[in-house]
Amino acid sequence: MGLTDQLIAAHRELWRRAAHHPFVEALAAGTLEEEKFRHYLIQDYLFLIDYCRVLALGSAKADTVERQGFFAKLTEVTLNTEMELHRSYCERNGISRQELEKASPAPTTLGYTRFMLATANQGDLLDIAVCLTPCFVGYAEIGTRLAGLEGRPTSGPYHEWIEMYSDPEWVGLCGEFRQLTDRLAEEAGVTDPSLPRHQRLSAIFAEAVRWEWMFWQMGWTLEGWPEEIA
Amino acid sequence: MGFTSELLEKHASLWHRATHHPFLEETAALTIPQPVFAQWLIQDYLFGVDYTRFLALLSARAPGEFMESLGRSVGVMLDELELFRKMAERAGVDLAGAKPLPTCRAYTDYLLRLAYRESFPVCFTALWTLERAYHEAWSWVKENLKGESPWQEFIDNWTTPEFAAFVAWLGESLDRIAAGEDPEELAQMEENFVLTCHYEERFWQMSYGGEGWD
Repeated sequence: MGLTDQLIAAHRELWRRAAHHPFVEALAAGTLEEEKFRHYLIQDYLFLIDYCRVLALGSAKADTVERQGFFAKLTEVTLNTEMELHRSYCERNGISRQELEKASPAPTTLGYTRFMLATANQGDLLDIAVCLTPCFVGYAEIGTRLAGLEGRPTSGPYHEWIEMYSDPEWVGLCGEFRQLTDRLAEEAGVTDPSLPRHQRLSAIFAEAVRWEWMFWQMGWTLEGWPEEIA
Repeated sequence: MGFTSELLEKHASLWHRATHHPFLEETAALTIPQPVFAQWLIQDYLFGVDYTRFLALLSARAPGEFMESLGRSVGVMLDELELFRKMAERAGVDLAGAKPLPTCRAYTDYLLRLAYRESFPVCFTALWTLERAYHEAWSWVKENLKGESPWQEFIDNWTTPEFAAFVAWLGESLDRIAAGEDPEELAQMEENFVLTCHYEERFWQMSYGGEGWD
């Protein structure tokens, strides 16, 4: 079993809760209130800006030119394909790109991105890969699952969202990402769960999955800063 | 006058040396010895690998408005490395196991040091300096080329309209950045413009030999 599957298995309940958050289920059923979706999508755009920084750090810290290239490709796909979904949705809904980029990050968005940036700055390529796994692999899993559901939305923004995260090319990239993570773990010799390094990676993974759950929750509850301190 | 024009004017002679080295003259005149160009090819490839890291670090640190272009330039650099591998293969040059010479090593270590330690404006100054130097150096070669060069793809690579536009964007951006900086920071930026020019000049010279680790 590769490291990715080991980590998912070790935190199965947490993983399931994040993947089946009420926000996701409501999106799949088409019953999600659009206000919540909009809040989530704007926050996700802010999240992705810093996510690209983490990918760039992966490129900077990669040990081979091929891996440098892979992380650069992920940065490119995120900037130009994934974030384009957000931009075009916002454009259609009267939110300009400037407004989008100037939006204020919610507490959870800040917490998640600071966690990733700190991990990526302090750690090596394997730490970076593990802290990105819940987002990357998680979204591919959710996208693929939702695309196979009966009664999923067949038009509109939720449909587009599902289409993007179940797109075979994108899901294929996630597969490559998974393989790279597993390979890095083998090279580092950390697949034995009793090793301290394995446990540290497991802790990074668990924290990232918690943030994934928190991120859905942020959309679901329209989380922002309390008015007194906003 | 913008910051970049001031730098180019104030350090005109250094700038000229960084962009009009005999290496470039001989390349344009088609008289450059194959081993000299091959050495440059190897060293510039090694430079490119770490330079790509520099760009990636810079894009990770960049203010929002610069992040996207810098992130994209990492991808452009990776294509360029592919070009180096192709040219190396064609010229029978082995890149595997190649070791950087002292100047190459010093230059990339210098850039990575900037990326990890210095302010974004200082890093951006070095970035503009070396990209602009490359554009100017290779444009000069192209204009003065005396026939068919075996290294044509390199000459083309750094003289495309896309590359010219990127260099222009870097210059305009740097002028904008500099307009908001205090004299102390501007002095740091100037110092690193000068250092980068020196490294550029030495990088051309390096391929003529006399450098090693013995």
